[in-house]
Amino acid sequence: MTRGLLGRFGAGIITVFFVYALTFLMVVSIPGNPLQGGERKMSREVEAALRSRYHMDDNWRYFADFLGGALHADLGPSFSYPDWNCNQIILSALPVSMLVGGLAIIVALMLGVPLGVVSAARQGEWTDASFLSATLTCISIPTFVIGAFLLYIFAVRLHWAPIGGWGTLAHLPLPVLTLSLPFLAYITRLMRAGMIESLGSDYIRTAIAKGVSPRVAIWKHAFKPAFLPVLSYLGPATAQAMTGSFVVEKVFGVPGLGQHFVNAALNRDPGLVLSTVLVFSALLVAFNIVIDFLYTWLDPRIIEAV
Amino acid sequence: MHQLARRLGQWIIYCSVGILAILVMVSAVSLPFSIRWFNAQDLDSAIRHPPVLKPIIPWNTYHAALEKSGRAIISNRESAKHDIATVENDTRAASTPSGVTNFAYQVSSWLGHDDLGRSLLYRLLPAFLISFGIGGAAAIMATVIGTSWGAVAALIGGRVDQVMMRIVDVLYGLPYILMVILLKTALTRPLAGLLGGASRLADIIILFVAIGGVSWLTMARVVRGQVLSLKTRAFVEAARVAGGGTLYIIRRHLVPNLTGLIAVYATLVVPQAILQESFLSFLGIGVAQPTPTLGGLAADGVQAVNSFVGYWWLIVFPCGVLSVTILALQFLGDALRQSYERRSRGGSMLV
Repeated sequence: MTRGLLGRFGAGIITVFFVYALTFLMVVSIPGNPLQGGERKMSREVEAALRSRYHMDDNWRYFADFLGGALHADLGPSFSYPDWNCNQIILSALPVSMLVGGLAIIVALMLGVPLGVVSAARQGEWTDASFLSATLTCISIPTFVIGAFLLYIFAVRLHWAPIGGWGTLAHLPLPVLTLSLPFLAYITRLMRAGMIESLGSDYIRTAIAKGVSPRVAIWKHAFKPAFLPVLSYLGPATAQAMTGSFVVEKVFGVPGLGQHFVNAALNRDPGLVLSTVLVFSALLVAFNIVIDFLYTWLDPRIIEAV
Repeated sequence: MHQLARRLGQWIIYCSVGILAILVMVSAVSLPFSIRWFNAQDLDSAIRHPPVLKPIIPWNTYHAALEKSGRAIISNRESAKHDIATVENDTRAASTPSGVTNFAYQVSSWLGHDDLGRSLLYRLLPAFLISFGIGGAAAIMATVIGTSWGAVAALIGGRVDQVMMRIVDVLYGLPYILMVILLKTALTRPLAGLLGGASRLADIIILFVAIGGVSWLTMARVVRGQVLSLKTRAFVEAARVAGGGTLYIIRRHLVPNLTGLIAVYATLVVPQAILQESFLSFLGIGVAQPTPTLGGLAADGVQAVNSFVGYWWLIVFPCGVLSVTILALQFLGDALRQSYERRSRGGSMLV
C-alpha cells in the first residue's frame, strides 16, 4: 500500500509539473505586456531593466527560475500588485478561502449525506421527488443570483448578517451557505445513486432476511460502499472550494484567493497566474492522494488495484 | 402515492420539453425583429423608437423615472438636430405627473427596459437563442472530442491510454476560468481578423470553443470507462473469435452500446455550459456587450439591483428564463439517464 501511495505521489508531482508547464506556455503566448499594466507608463529603460532582472526575454530561463523559486517556497514578485509579492498575496488570501471552502464542504457533507440516504431509502416517494427537485433547483440557479438573494433577505431585510466584508464570525454563514449549495446538491445526488445501488445488492437482502433492522442495514451495511462515489468526488470538490470562488467572493466581499485567479489572468500578471495555478493543482493532487488513502481504508479490496 | 409521484415526474418531463420547444420557437421566430435591438449601431434607434406594447405589469415609480431619463437622452440627441420644439414638449410632458403616467404607458414594453432604455424582452429573446447555442455547441464539442479521445484511449490501451488519460488529468488540474480567459485573449483578435473584422461573431465562436474545450474531459473519462468495460464483455469476445475485425466490432458493438451513454452526457453538458457562460458573464469575460446572453442579462440585473433602487424586473425575468431553461434541461438529462440505466444495468455511472 505504501508503494502504491508513493506511486500516486510521484504521478501527482508529474501532473503538477505538466499543469505548470502548460500554464506557462499559455502565459507567455498571450498578447499583452504585464509590465505596462500600471497607471503610469513605464519608461523603456526601467522596463528593460525589469525584464532582464526577471529573465522575461528568455522564456526557458524564466520557466526554470520560477520553478526553482517555487521549490524554495518563493513565488516571486507580482507585477499587478507592486506592494506585494506572490507569497504574501497567497498567504493572505488562502487561509480565508480555506476557511470558507472547508466549512462549505463540511456543511455540504453534513446535509447532503443524510438527504441522499433518506431519498434513496424512500426512492420514488414524495420525499425523494422533492429532495431531487430541490437539489436540481440548487444546481440550476447561478450562484451569484442565490448569493444576491440571500444577501437581500438576510442582510438587507432581516439585518441578521452584515452586508459584506470580512473579519467577524457574522460574516461567515452567508458565503459558506452560498458556496456549499452546489456541492450539497451534487453530494446528495451521488449519495442517493450510490445508496440505491448498494441497497439493491445481495448482502443487504441477506442482512434484512436475517432480521437486521432497516436502520442498521442502511447505516451500517449499505453506507460504506455507497459512500465511495461521494468520497471520490470530495477530492476535486474540496480543492475547488478551498481555492475560493470568485463569484461568492465578489458577491459577499470576501478577500479570498478566487479573485486572484481571475484578476491575475486579466492583468497578464505571469507570477501571480503561475502561483495561483500551482497552489490549486498542488491542493488538487494532495486532496486526491488523501482521498485515495481514505478509499483504501474504506474498501480494502482497492489495495490490490493500487 | 407512489403512482402519483411517478406521474408527476412524467408531467415534469413533458413540461420541460414543451417549455424548451416553445422558448426555442418563440426566440427563433422573433429573431428577425429582436436582432435589431442588440446591435450597437442600432442602439440609438432602439432608444428613439422603443417598441410600443401595452404593459402587463404595473410599473413602479422607478420605471417612470427611468423612462424619463431615457427620454431626456433622446431629447439631447434630438436637440443636436435643432429640434427644439420636441425637447420642450417632452420636458413639459415629463414634468407633469399625468404626463409621466401617459408617457410610461406609451413607450413601455412587456418586460420593461434596462438602464440604457433597451427593451428587456427584445434582449431576452435572442439571449435565449445564443445561450442555447452555446450549450449546444459545447455539447457537440464535448461529444466529438470527448468520445473520440476516450474511445481511442480505451481501444489502443497500454502506454497510449496512460498518456492520454494523464493529459485529461492535467487539463482537469487547470482552473477552467483561467483557460477561458487565456483562450479568449489569445484568439479573439486573430480570429476576428480571419473573419474579416466580424469581432462579435469571433467573440461568440471563441466562447463556444473555450467552453466546449473544457467540457469534453468528463465525457472522455466516461466513454473510456464504458469502452473498457465493453471490451471485456462476452459478445465482443465472441465477435472477435468469429473473425470480426476491429472496425466491425466498433461499428457493430461499441457504437450502439455507447450512443445512449453519450446522449445522456451530451444533454447534461448543455445546462452546465449555459451556467458556465453565466459565470463568465458575471466576471465580465463572457460574450462582450451588447450581445445578450441569459447569464449576461442575469449578471447585469444582479449588478443593477441594490437596496435603493428596485429594478426588480431586470433580475427576475432573465433569472426566471435562465433557471427554467436549465431546470428543464436537467430534468430531461436526468430522465434520459434513468431510462438508460434501467435498460442497461451494470457499468458504473457518474452522477
